[in-house]
Amino acid sequence: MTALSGAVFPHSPALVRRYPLRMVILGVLAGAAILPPFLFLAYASLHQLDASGGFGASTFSHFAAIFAERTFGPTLVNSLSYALGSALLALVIGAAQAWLAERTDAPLRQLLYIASIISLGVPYVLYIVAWLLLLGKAGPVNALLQQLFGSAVPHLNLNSLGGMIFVEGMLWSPLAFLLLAPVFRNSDAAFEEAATVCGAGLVATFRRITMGMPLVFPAIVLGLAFLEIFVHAGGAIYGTLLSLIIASVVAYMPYGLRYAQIGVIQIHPELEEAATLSGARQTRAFVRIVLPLLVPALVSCWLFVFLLAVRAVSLLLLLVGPESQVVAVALFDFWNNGQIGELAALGAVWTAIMTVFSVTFLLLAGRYQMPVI
Amino acid sequence: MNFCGDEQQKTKNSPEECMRIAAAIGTLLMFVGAIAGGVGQAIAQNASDNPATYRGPDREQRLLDGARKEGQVTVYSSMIADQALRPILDGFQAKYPFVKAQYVRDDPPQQLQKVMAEARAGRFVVDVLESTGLEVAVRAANINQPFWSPESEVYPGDHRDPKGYWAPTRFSYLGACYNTDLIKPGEQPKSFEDLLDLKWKGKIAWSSTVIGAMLFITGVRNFMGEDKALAYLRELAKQDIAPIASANRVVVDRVMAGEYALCLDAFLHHPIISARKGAPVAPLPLEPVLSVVSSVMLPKAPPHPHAAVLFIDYLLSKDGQQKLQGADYFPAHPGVQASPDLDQIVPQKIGLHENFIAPAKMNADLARSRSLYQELFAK
Repeated sequence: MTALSGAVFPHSPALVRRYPLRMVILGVLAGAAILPPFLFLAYASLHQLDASGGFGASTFSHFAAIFAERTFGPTLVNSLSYALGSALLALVIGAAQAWLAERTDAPLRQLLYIASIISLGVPYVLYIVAWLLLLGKAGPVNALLQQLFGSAVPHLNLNSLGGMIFVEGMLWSPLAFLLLAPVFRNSDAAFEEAATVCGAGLVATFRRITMGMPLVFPAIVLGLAFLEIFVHAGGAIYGTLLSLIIASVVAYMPYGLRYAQIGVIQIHPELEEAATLSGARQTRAFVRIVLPLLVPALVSCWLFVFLLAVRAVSLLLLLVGPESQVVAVALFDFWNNGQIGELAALGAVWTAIMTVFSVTFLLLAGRYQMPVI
Repeated sequence: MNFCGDEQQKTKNSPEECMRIAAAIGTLLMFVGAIAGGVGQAIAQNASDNPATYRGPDREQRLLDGARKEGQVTVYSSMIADQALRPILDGFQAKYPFVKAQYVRDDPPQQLQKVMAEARAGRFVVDVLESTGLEVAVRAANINQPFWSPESEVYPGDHRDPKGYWAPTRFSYLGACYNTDLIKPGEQPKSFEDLLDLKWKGKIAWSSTVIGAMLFITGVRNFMGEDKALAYLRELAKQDIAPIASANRVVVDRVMAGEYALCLDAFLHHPIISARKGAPVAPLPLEPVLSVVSSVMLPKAPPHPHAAVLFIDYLLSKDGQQKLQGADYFPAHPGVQASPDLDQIVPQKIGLHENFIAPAKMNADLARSRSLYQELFAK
């Protein structure tokens, strides 16, 4: 179990050593949240489905069918190039922004934070529509390029692997920025240490962004697993807001952990050891010393996960019920129904609300001396 | 079975014993018969009580009383919420204010996942399912039950299920659409053959979904026959048609934006609605005009059975169907006309043949259409 909590907090073996029981409980909780959908997927992939979608005899035929599919190889290669390419792009942009914001005195650099936070709250579908309008085959950029070069065909094609990498990379760059900014900020103690920390931060961020794609749970698959779990859970959880919350907790836990981790790393064990030496009991040391130091990281983590969660679509498509409609899914419906005007209007209102919310949040955090980001 | 027959004298039964056994068996049979009769009667009673199939003169009153107690109905539909679904629910609610009508709007694939999961768990949230193309899958999964509504009697027999597992709610006509800035009037393709002209190469898009490219292929197979269809599709594949992994409506939007000159699988009312708002797009019905029906189904154990049937009644009634007219859908009710704007794509009104794909046909042909799509178009 310690190994599991170690996996959840890979950089904090000290915490595991210091609070074995607490870490075990945390590990069990994390496992309980993550394992059911994983087990469901493993089980479903190894069993036949009958007409009602129920499980029949066990089989390897699903895997055989996938491997026999002639598009499997190219699809896999495409997905990997897509994930690696977009993560790399997000990282380059995010790192450049983080460097500008934290290591230079560029004017208005604080705007980067606001812009990133806002962009995290913009639902994906709006993002994609906007890029299509701008860089699509019939968009102004292509029209300009065609005029410049006097060609009949558009130069940029967003419906290509390169186009997908570009849009996805742009989509994730605010996340990369927000994850990297503290790394750049806290690395001014010594140069060589700075280089190491930056390097480690870059690698960790790259890994996080890459892993958060196809490689763990595609959101739609996670949604399907949760549909199955909730509908079988009895009681009245299926279709409720609570079910959406539980699914989102599991889906966004990795991001939250990565964010909170930054806070944890910064707390030196000496502080707590000093408290213990001065006679404080461990629990008291944790509550009085560690927790207050963790609060800014936890608060910023909350805002961060909140913004990611409110724009989720595919995770929630299969889970929303009659009384738990959420804005992101409503936006997706508008897109699917060709109601672009309504989409833009609701999207604008939503983005405005998210902006006001985030700015108020940041101002309040600053007021109480919590350097949230 | 002959217990006292000549060949089975090994058991050495005396005639008295035979009589006694016969009497005992007779008594037993009567007893079993009585029980079976009682159970049968109970079942019959149950069936006649089921609001889904009850036809007695007090049907309306029973539905109203039951719905009043249930107080709620949950509709899963793939209709566009703002334009059609909500007006219908509002109309229903205005007529029956004691029933709270709520809905979940999804595309058919998500609808199927949800109702199958609910059925497996034995816990339906859905009371009424309205969708396109799910009739056979839902029936095969043993999710729904037959129902009877006096309203469905006026619908033509070939548009509804003879066993009552589904009834039609709306029609859709599918065909091409084109961007009127990119293609001057008169230059647009006018037939399936015209689509093969190489001047359209790279300028055509379609939706890579079941209701998009697969349905187009099913339609072509249905009217050309397998051999001609295969030859035709091979030629069509040379046009490098761009697959868009979204609903058909999204493809029309891409044509409106000028990214593609043509699309092949539009719901033909979509370009009309957009053109009315000034978008440079026009519908292009190709003969024979592909048409499909959407339908309403009743789950096996809806949580609000009376309200569910009451809602189906309303949806199939003239009142309910008129709401579809306002939303630019094609009402399935033979006595309710679509809005006059839409006449330009109704095959009977413009003198074109119709290529109606019944639900069973659509489902039966899907697998081959999908493999043809994979083989010829997905490169």
